[in-house]
Amino acid sequence: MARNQKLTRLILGRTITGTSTVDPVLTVQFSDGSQMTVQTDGTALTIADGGTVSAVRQADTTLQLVFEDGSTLDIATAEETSCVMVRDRNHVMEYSD
Amino acid sequence: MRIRTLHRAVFFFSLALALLGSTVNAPRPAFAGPFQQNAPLRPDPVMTPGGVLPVTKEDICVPGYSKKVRNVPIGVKRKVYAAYGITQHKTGEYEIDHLISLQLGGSNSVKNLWPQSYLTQPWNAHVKDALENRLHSEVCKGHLDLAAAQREIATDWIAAYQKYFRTQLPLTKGAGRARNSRRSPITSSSPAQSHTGDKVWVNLKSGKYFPPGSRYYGKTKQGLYLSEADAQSQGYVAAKSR
Repeated sequence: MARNQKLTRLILGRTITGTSTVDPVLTVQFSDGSQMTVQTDGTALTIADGGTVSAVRQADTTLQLVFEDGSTLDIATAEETSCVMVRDRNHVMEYSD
Repeated sequence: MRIRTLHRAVFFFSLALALLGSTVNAPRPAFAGPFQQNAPLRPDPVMTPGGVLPVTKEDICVPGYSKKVRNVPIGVKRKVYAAYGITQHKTGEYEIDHLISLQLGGSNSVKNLWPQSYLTQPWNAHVKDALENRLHSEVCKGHLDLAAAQREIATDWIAAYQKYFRTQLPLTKGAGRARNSRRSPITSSSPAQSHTGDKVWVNLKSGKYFPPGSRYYGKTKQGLYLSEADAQSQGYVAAKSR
């Protein structure tokens, strides 16, 4: 699975502080106040708080967050593209795919 | 040793036959050809109806917005080419175009991507780029609603070009890059149209216009003939040295 360089550079070091799901959109809150929304395929996910992102990988409809402790989280996206968006604490768009 | 050589010869012969067979039997690319005569001028509305991101005018009008959007993965580009029947093409023949451009909030969804030719005439990817710049400018100046711009370019980008540039044929290359922000959609003829002596020549690159008889009248690379009133209303200024 290839590393998503643009997204990795952006959210590297950010720690998850909370998540919520309003099907089919998963929202991940980070410690700096930013948030990432992901259009999922509807599969339920359990995401523990506290993980710090060290890399993001992406292939086809899988978005994989890699954490500093070596664990990973695979998120099935609704489409290959056009499903992930990151906005900063001021709601300014930082990334979209 | 001889047996190994014989095996090798049989292998290469079989390979050659297989390649020959695949060449003969391969389906002919629908849009390939020396001059891309069959290249689509407009996307297939079923395959490419357009797709947008949940962004606002405030998002897209921030300088550098498009750079925040992920590049289209090569695998997705290949799928788009395949969907349009383009199995082979040379570098510089096509681009995978966002029907609703990124700068207008378009997405990377396959529903918003299509192979657009750089080579078809007169309508091609360069011309559409000029339209995209014009619409983005109009939206950010508050002259045009973002949703309306998205809808118009997705419905028929050529008709949108004709509407916003007020011309039946594309203007000269660079028309969309006019620098004077006061310019609104161009309101007169294209250079291809005949002109009369009462029209001025507008240099689209410098933003200056020249009256008949002046040194650069009709001679700059990027320009068009307009009435002086139209040129002034669109923000062009009279050249000092005539």
